[in-house]
Order: sequence, then structure tokens, then C-alpha cells
Amino acid sequence: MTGIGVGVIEGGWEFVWGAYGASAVILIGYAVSIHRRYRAERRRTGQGAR
Amino acid sequence: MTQALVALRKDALLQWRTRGRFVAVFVFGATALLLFSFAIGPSAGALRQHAAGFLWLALMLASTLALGDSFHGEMENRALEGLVLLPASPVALYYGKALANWAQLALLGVALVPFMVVLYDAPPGGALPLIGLILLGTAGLSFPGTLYAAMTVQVRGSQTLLPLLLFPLVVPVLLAAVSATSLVMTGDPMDQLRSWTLLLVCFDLIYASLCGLLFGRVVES
Amino acid sequence: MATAVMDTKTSDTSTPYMVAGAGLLLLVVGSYWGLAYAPRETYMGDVQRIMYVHVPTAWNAMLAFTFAFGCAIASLIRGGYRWDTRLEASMEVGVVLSTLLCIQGAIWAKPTWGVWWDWDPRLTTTAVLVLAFSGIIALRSFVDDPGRRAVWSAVAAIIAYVDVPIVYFSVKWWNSLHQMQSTPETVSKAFHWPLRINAIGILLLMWGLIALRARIAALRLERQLQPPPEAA
Repeated sequence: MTGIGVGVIEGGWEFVWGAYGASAVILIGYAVSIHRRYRAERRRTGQGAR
Repeated sequence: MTQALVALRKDALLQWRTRGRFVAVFVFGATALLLFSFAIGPSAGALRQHAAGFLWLALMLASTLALGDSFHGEMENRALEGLVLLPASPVALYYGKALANWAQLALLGVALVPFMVVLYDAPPGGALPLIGLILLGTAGLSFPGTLYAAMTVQVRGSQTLLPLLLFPLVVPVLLAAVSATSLVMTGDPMDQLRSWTLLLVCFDLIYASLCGLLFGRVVES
Repeated sequence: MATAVMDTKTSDTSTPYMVAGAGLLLLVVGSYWGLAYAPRETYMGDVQRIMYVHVPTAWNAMLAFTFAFGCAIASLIRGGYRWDTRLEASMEVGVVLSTLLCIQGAIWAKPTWGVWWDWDPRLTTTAVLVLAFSGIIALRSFVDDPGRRAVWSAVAAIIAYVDVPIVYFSVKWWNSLHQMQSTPETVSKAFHWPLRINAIGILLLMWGLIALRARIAALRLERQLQPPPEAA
């Protein structure tokens, strides 16, 4: 980099992948966690109702 | 209004009777100031430059002790429920407690100033503006802090919950108080003091009213 | 009595799943567009592509907390637990999105400014929000009585949300006194399609997740409110 705010940023694809990767991991990971927790709650409610 | 004054008198009396606790909180604040200087190192320039920051950090940390303590009297004899049953409105109770806490914190702040001056070799600037800022800043800590203290004291794990809830909320108070105090101590070439003071006043007014409004719901439940 | 908590049939969960799935699909489309097809920005180069996921996350994170604020007010006014479960859900989703936002912001800042954190007012306010709402979530886990939990977290959420503009302006001020910088986050008009697609994608995903998370809260509440079964 030639300096802050001056010139052009070359490359930097690793940062782009990092950002998109982190977003994917967190969003999908959280969605999976919600799905699992929801199934667990449904199961528990089903057992208690008996 | 008179109810609030009666509540204030009760809380002030309570604080006077337990003034040993105030001394303990003061010692905690002074210790914090000392620890900060150990963390930064003996560089006089750095210490002087950040003196205002250290003072307000110490005040914030000490406030969690003082605020958390302020409802202990009520908790010990389940007096909180008794207070709510009285014909006095909970809002008056809130303001009495918050004002008493404010006075205590302001006193604490003023008491810590000589420590700051000595430890960090930081000239206090004008006495009146400094006291004014301490009043404005501690109000910003006391009004939301009293509300949160009423909540957390009834719940286990209260010692962690109170700072956890209060500190993110009072970030503007910290920023404004530290910046303004720094300006009072080192000079204000660009006349920014007014803006920071205005921010503090706005924060205090907003939260003094909002927390008073919501306090009734907090103790009713 | 227990039915006061849930306003939809417990069995009907296909909608949130479909909405969330649609959201994910849109995200894939929008991200692919932004990564592969959108032209390079003049000064920021390819790093600017982070904006196609960063800006949509920012919009939706704020939306989540704003929705939480609305739920808090509704919860206090209406009583009951319907809005409380939504409050619990939207706070959690808001914290997740805001945490992601801070991570994205740091990854964007490093090649741009050379530091991981540049005290950008918006990002710093987001960090404060993460802490504030995490604290309220922690408060909920310490309070056992559901009625009290609902009132207290609603009060705390209102107090925290009102603080958002104050925090933003104080940090902006504080920062501007020490640094002269403009944040080059503006995205020129030619690039707005991947941005919009991703924004709607995250919106739909968030909607589905909040709905499901609210149902989890409702189910837990129902179990807590039901009297224990008599021993036969």
C-alpha cells in the first residue's frame, strides 16, 4: 500500500474471502443452531404433553 | 414532589449512618487511580495527559459499588416490598434514591480530585467548572444506575450484572466527561467545552425522566 | 392459559423455513454477483466488494434492534408474553448480526486504513450495542420469574435503544476531534443491485430466524408456565 487514503489498493482478495467466509459461517451456523434448538424444544414439549 | 424529598431525606440519612461504606468506596477509587498509574508507567507526560480519563474510569468503577450498595438496606429486611406498599409513588422513591446516589457519587468525585492532582501531576484547572462537570457526569451515572441497581439487587449475580448493564449505556457520559474535564484542565483552544457540556446535560435530562417513568414498572413486578 | 403465549399453530413452521431459505438463496445470488460480476472500484479495488455484504448486514442489524425496541414497548403496553418472545428473539438475532458487522468492519478496515479498528462512529456504536444487548440477554437468564423477566428486559431494551443516537453522536464527535477522515463507504450507483439483493436476502433470513427463535422462546415459556403434572 502506498499510504492511507492515497493510491489504489492492490489485490486484497484474502480479505474479501475472509469477510464473506465469516459472514457465511456465522449466518449459516446460527441458522443451524436455531434449527437444532427448535427441534429440541418441539421434542421436549411433545414429551411433556403426555 | 414532597414525597421525593422525604425519600431523599431517608436515603441521605441512611447514607450518613453507613458512612463507613462511603470511606470504603473512596479507598477503592483511590486504589484504582494508583493502579492506573502503575499500568501506564511513571512517564509524567502520559499520566498528565490522561489524568481526566483515569479519574472518570475510577469513578465509574467505584459507582458500581456505591450503586449496588444503595439498595442493600431495602433488600436485607425485604423493605423494598414494604416501600412499594406505602401510598408513596414509586417514582418519588426513585428520585429520592437517585438524588442521594448522585450526591454520594459527586462527593466521591470531588474527593478523588486531589488524588488525581498529586498522582498524575495534573493541575485541576478551574475549580468551579470541574465541580460542575463532576456533578453532570455523576448524574449520568446515578440516574440509570439507580434503576439498574433496583433490578439487579433482587437477582443473583447482581455484582456482574450491574456494570454489565450500566457501562455500555453510559459510554456517552464517559466520552463527554473525560473530554470536557481534559479541556478544563489543559485549556480549550477551540471552545469545545460547551458542546460536551450540552451533551452531558441532554443525557442527564433524558435519562432522569425516562428512568423515573419506567421505575414504577420495575418495582411493581 | 398456555395458549396466550403462542399465536400461531405450533405445527405450522414451514413459513419461517421457506422465508429463511429464500433469504439464503438471495444471499448466494447477490454475493456471487458482487464477487464475480460487479466491476472493480477505482481506488478501493476488490476490497470494496466487502461492502456488498457489509452494508446489508448493517441495515438489518439496526432493523433487528429497532424491531426489538418496538417489541419492548408493545410488551410493556400490552402485557402477556407474545411480544416478550419476539423481544427475546430479535435481541439475540440483533446481537449475532451486529457481532458479524464488527467482524466484517475489522476485515474491511485492515487493508483500507492499516488498522483492525479505526473507531468509525457507526462501527463503534455497533460494538457498544453488542455489549448493551448482550447484557440484557444475560439479565434475562438471571431472572427466573417470567413476568418480571418480561418487564425488566423490556425496560432495559428501551433504555438501551434510546441511547443509540446519543452514543453515535458522542463517538462521532470524539473521533472527529482526533482524526480527519472520511469513510469511503459510499457505493456508486452502478453497483447497487448486488447490494439490494443481499439486503433483501439478509432481511428474509433474519425474518425467518426471528420467527423460529420466538417460537423456541414461546415453547420454553409454555413449559415453564404449565403446572407440573400430578404424580399419579
